Amino acid sequence: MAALSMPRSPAEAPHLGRLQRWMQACMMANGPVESAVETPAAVKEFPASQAPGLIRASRTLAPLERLDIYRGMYDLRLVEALRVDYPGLLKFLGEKTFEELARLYIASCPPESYTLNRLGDRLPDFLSQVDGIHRPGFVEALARLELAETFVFDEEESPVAAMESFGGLSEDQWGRLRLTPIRALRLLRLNYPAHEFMQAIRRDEALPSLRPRRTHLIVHRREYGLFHLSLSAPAFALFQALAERAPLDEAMQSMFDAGGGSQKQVFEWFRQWFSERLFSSVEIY
Amino acid sequence: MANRWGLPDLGFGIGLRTVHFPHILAERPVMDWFEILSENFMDTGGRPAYVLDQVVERYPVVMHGVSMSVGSTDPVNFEYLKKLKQLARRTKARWISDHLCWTGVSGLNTHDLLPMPYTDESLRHVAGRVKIIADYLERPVFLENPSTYLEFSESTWNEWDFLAELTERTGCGILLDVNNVYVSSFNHGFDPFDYVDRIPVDRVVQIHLAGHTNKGTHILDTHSDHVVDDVWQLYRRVYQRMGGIATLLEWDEAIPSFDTVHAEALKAGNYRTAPEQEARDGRAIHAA
Ligand SMILES: [Fe+2]
Repeated sequence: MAALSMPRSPAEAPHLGRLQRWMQACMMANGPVESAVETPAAVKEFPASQAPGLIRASRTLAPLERLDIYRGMYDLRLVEALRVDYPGLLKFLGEKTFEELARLYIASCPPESYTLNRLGDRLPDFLSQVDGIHRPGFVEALARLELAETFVFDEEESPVAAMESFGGLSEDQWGRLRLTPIRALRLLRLNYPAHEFMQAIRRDEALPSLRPRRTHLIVHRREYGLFHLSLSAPAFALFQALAERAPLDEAMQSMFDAGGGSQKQVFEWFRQWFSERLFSSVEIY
Repeated sequence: MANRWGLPDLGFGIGLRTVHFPHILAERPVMDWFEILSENFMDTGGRPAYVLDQVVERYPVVMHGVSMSVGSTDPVNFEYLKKLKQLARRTKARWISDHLCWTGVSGLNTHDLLPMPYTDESLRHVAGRVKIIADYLERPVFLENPSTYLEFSESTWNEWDFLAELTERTGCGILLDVNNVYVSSFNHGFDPFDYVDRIPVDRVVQIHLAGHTNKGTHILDTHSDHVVDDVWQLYRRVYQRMGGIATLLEWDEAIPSFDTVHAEALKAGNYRTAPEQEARDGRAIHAA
């Protein structure tokens, strides 16, 4: 593979590189096209006075009008991708506010990946830093939930372990159990029950109250459908410790530290979690 | 008139789209082949991957991407190519295509198919990258002519000559999007028949057809409607020059039912007519 040892660097097409950096800078700049060609990133490549000369006029459009077509499509495409990933936020904020925030986000975190799937990964962090958002705590919780849902949607399938796989264990073996969750699962600690809002939207029901409430959530996928499972703080501490590879006796200690739980409850929770198909393997160390 | 790789005319296919998943799984429609948008399946192990595996079992699949960015002056993205190669194995892809364009620079991605200046510098640059990519993928690269909305003043080549020269220099092939030829011809004021008449016949492995949106001052390649008659006439000309080539109908906005999209693709069969046959049909009409 001799070709691989000769990477094509920007230095090999210096003028092309300049033109591409210029066009991209114009596309990513906010405001009208006339000011886009005056932004520092664009002017670094070509002075604004030269901008119209870089593009041919058509029968019907001036050079900068043609550039503006690409600017409009950039905006539309990315905002649309965020709308698809964050339908709850869109519903809560309304079209106008959502699109304004989406544009601010895109300007602040322009896409780096080849896939649009991960365009919104930094949106929850971004929203937590924006001033003037209505109900900022709820908005952030909702954004974190919707981001978790996108990860769960795309994760690989895992094998599913059955509860019978550890029937008849001694107490010592029981303490050394290690349970691995399926991959299509995320754990969320939120200050608002954002999942109740999402469920209401999906079922087209009346929207629930938006009062803060400490919420411990498992977001998971089963037969390609998304589910939320709300847990008590001790149950969540137990699951989280197991997900972090702790053996059951240590995980139960985390559960007690979180203020509750008993062996009987653990057994009941396991019964539920296994029936929800949340684990992919059971091992004894 | 076969292409130089001996790749088959797969018949009339459509793009595999999420809204049609339930219909395809439930009805298993009779269908020549599907084209998938590579990026929609590269990073998911969820439902899209499951549906894809079902489709691959029953239909020939071709991969079409939008992020290869062969024209970019950024370094080649081997992480992307690795995933592309893995997906090609999983789908038993008959071939892989992308576009003659760039999508981003300086580590960013605009997620648009951006126009190249058609210059000697661009040609050298793209040719070098196409060879690297084809070596890595261990298969030929097929590039589609994009719809463009601007031309750079510095261009010294026509798009069709640039593309033809690129195939000579690199051994790459062409996915000829007949609608894109039409859209760009409207936007830039050239004769679309000149374009298709100058494309090297043995390099074309696939055709794209689609609808578009005429904004009056320019046409946008929206894939949002039926194919217009001017584009069908151009398709007929391509057939008369090149013979039967795997033909794919793209519909990406306001997507109608599977059957409507499929029926639109099958219309292409009506335009696969030889010049002699047209003359005969013409006489028959006069006689009647
Ligand atoms: Fe196309």
